[in-house]
Amino acid sequence: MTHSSWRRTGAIWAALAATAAVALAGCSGGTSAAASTPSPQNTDTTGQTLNYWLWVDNATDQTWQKLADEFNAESGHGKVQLQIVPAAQYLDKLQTALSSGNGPDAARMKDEWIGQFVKAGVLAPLSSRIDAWSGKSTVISSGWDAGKVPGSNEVYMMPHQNTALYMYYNKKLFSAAGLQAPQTQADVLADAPKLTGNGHYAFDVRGGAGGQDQWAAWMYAGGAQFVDSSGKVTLDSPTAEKINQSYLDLAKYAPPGSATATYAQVLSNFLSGTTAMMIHHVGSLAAVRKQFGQDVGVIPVPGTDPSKPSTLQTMSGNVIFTSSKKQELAWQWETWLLGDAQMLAMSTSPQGQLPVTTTVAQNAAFTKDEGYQVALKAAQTAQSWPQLPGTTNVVNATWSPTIQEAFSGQITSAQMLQTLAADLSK
Amino acid sequence: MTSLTAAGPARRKRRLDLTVPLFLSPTLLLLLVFVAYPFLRAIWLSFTDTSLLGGTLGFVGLDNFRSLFADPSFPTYLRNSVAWTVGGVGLQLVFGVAGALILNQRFRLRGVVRGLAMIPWATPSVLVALIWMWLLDPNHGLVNAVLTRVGLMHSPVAWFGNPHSALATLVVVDAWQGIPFFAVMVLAALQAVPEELKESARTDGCGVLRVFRYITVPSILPTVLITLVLRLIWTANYIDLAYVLTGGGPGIASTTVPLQSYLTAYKEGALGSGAGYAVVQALVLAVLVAIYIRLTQRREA
Repeated sequence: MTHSSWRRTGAIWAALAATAAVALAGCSGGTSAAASTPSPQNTDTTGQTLNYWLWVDNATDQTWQKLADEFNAESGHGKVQLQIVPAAQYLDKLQTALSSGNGPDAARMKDEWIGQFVKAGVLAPLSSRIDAWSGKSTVISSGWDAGKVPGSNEVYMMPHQNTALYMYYNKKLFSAAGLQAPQTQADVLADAPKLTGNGHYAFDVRGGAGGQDQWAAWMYAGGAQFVDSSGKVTLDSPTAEKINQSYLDLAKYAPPGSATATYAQVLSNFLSGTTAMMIHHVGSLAAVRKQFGQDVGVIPVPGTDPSKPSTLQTMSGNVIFTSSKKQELAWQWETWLLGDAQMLAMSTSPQGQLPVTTTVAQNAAFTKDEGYQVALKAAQTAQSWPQLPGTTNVVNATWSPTIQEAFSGQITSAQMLQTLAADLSK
Repeated sequence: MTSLTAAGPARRKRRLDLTVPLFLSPTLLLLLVFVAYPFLRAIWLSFTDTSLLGGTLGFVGLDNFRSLFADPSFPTYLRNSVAWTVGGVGLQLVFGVAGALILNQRFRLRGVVRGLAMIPWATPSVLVALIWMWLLDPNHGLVNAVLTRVGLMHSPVAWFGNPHSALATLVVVDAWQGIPFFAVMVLAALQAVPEELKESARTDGCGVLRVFRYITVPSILPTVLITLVLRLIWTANYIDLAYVLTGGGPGIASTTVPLQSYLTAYKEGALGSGAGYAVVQALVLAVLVAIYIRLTQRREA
């Protein structure tokens, strides 16, 4: 080998080593604490534009855009550009965009999706930023828990809007049947036959899209545990199997089509008086009050022991992607959304849910209706879907067909839970 | 001089050889980018462990196909695919031909009726799904209300919520949407049947049925066959209605192979396994594609 070829080879190796070093620095930068800790040099985000993805729960409501306009009108930081994606395709499109390298800088996220995103290493850890943030103590503790995965204390999601599921019951239908509001799941099962007949039914079991949340609320309220303290999936325990069987039994007192019903059908059935009970959250409170006024009662999801209430909470929040070069601006936007005025505006909007900051939760807007009071109290003992890598698959793909097979008797309650437990464990 | 004369045709031939690929190149380029690459990529993915978020984790050989064929649900997906395709296209064939024969008759407002008949075909699939979701709603839908009121049913039926009726109902909705296309294709063929031939047959003593059997049917048969194969291919791949109306349920009662491919790839995030279903579907459809090419070539000849 000549001197020049040696020199050329050496130069190539040096270039490769430098490239690898830069690449490794880039890779590790996404997951290191340094990347998520604000430094004095990189807090100036003026001139930057954040690409932020979200879904909206009410397509006609402009609250998100108004908040973005307010943020953009302020000086001292960059701007945010909203990219609204239809809720039904949101997760698919986000995953596809991230895998092809065209993902956003930051995005709205649900707690039940986090597990697989953390496993894929695409979410920036936020704990060090949160610890240094002055607003940390105003956020409810379950909000931080919703952003963690089992076995780790790292927080990956800034909480934003919360829902704790409760039960509505139609007072007139209960009164006509000579019944009081149910306190336990045994009460619900005993009342169900008395509320069924002449075109009326007790409860929609909602086996279609989104039904997993009301089912999980019933399971948690009954005392089922999805995972133990070590993160091992325990959904197929005998206790859970018994509670699940009671839910499957309710299908006998559900209106036709309930085994595949989605939210629109469930809400329509309750508002028309076809069903006497509905498990949902404050997202439907305005519609329910408009239809029934005070003729509808709001109670915690009935469980086994009323002194030990539990239910499902679903938290939506905001994440920052490791691939983003505008993580500081994303952090500024996501903490700005947690300000009192912004939180109040979002939580009282037509798509609003429960606020995640204690100061806003005390606002009169959330004390005037018993629905909010029941929900806020339920949130104190509520549990989230376990943030496992398999949770997204269960919530998104396997829960509906599995429970539909159980409703039609093709599989037993135990087999249903074994299938779901196996999918959660994947 | 002689050499110049000899070089003339050769140069013209070379120019001709370059012109053809040049004109074909835009089409070839588009086919390569939008057909060949995705197709080959899907085949490659089917041999890998690839997830939506995690990317390709490695080459797994035939593992995706082994687990696909070992899945106890796979025979159900196949059965559903056959029932969906044959049922839907069969109904479209029968009612499409009948509709074409009716629309070919002379009657008042024929042009208006022909235009209105195309509405189901022209309506977007998702809108069709929503219309039928409302019509067939078990608690507030028009169909159940009418059938119950006239006494044909004692209680409302969950057409999409019952494992025994979900797929059959989807087939009917698909047929409703696809009949106009079939009817228009056959109508065009009917209008091309030479009137002199029919007249000659009538002169020879043939009745209406014999004219139809010996003149009309042979004339429209090539169009019917090509439309049939085309619709079989389209319907076999068509998942919009099932996705919106049943999501493949209840359970897997209305899940077809392509729908399972989509659900596996985009709902479970398993792109490799999803591609496996797509490859199996493509292999089955290749037979129909071959028949279609054969039919169109024969027609051109």
